[in-house]
Amino acid sequence: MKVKQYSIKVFEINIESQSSFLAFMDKNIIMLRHYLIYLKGEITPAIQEYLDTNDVTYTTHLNLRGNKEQQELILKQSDLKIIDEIVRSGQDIRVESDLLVLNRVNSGAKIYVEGNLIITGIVDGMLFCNGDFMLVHTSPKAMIVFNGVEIDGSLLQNKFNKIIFNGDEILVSPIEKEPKWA
Amino acid sequence: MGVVFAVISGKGGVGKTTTTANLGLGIAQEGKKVVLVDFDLGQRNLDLILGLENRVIYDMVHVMDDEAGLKQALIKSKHADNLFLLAASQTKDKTALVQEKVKKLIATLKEEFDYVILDAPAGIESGFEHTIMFADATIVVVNPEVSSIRDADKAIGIVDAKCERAKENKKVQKYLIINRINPAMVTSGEMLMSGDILDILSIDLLGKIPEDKAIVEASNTGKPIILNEKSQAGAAYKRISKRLCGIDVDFEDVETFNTPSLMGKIKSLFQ
Ligand SMILES: Nc1ncnc2c1ncn2[C@@H]1O[C@H](COP(=O)(O)OP(=O)(O)OP(=O)(O)O)[C@@H](O)[C@H]1O
Ligand SMILES: [Mg+2]
Repeated sequence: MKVKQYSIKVFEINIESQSSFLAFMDKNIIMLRHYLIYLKGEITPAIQEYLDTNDVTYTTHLNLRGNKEQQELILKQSDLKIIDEIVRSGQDIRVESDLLVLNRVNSGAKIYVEGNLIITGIVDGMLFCNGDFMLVHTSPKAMIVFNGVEIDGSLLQNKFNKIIFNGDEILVSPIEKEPKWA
Repeated sequence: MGVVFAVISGKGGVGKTTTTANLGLGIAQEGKKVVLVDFDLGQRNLDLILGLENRVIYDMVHVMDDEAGLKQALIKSKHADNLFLLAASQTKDKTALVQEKVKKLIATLKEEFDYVILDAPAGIESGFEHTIMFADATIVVVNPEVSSIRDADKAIGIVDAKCERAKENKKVQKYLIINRINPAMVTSGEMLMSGDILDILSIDLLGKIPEDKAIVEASNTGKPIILNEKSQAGAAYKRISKRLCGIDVDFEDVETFNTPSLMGKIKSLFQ
């Protein structure tokens, strides 16, 4: 007899309704392929078919004894678009989801984002963000409009700034240490 | 098979034509076979800078329209036997170019020459697009000032979006030449430092050319500055030409004043 041992991560999902479950899977299928999925709730024929055609690794019965430390992983259901290129003058980028830019945004470039915005390079251009937060490092030349309000350049110090909208006011807080981007 | 370089800038008057002429001559002096093509239709002046203005009988539009053979239209430089010019048309304007014909012309030139250098017109309109479309690499010329940098940034963006190599997901190499550096203005902070320019444009530095009054004279007399042994700008073009031929040449600092060396000063005491 041969026994093999695997270390795996398990994702526990409660099926509340067929449609919400399928929507969730569709959005996150790429990531979820790396996990064993522990399904609770009713597996309808449509769900069964989805699981089979997408080759999802899952189980409906899981009984782990011992130190059962339940790790809660919060998956925010939002798409993320990533731009890993310099955004140059004349470019006009419009994104409905969240956006992560892993480079600089040059003078003369414009970015419009409906979701949250993180830019790791220096921003010389124009940003229009309607999300809940922004994390940016801007030069004095930049123009930043957050939820329709232009941010006063003097608030944006020459370092990373977290700009958040807490429902009724916009808060700008410089981040002292530059975050390390893996 | 040769390599096609497009010399571009976005902003006009920053030194594309001067650069094309000097690098052409410099690379030819390294023993390579070079052709320069003037894509600035209707405003040709590469022939002037090379001192060939009265030799142009047929131009690139004649060749593309089969009104003349390539051999008939190529004009040999007075300064090097392996440097040739294919002139721009004076009469036809930028709309005279058709992409298929440009492609064919460049493919033919690539077979005949080691280096095919295309002098782009100012701006980012159709004439510019024709110049970059079939290039293997681009040489971006800027002056150390914000308007030039921004226009170059835009031009680079268009190269990445439109040229054929980029569409085939191949890399289009981009090299930067910072032209007209004035040490006094850099020191006083009136000019952008090259480090800042490199940060913004994020492309490889090929070299820096200092401001040199002798360049105007050189252009007027049809003798590119690279032929002037005393000129610092000429020496800078020589270094860049060597780099383009794969010879590793140290970068020289043209951004600070050239103060005479200690020995030079002492010797001058006795003169
Ligand atoms: N390093 C320099 N020092 C002094 N003058 C220069 C230098 N480089 C270029 N010039 C001058 O600047 C002017 C413009 O140069 P050039 O014609 O090469 O620019 P260009 O980019 O080709 O212009 P266009 O966009 O109109 O084609 C010319 O009069 C030239 O002599
Ligand atoms: Mg020119």
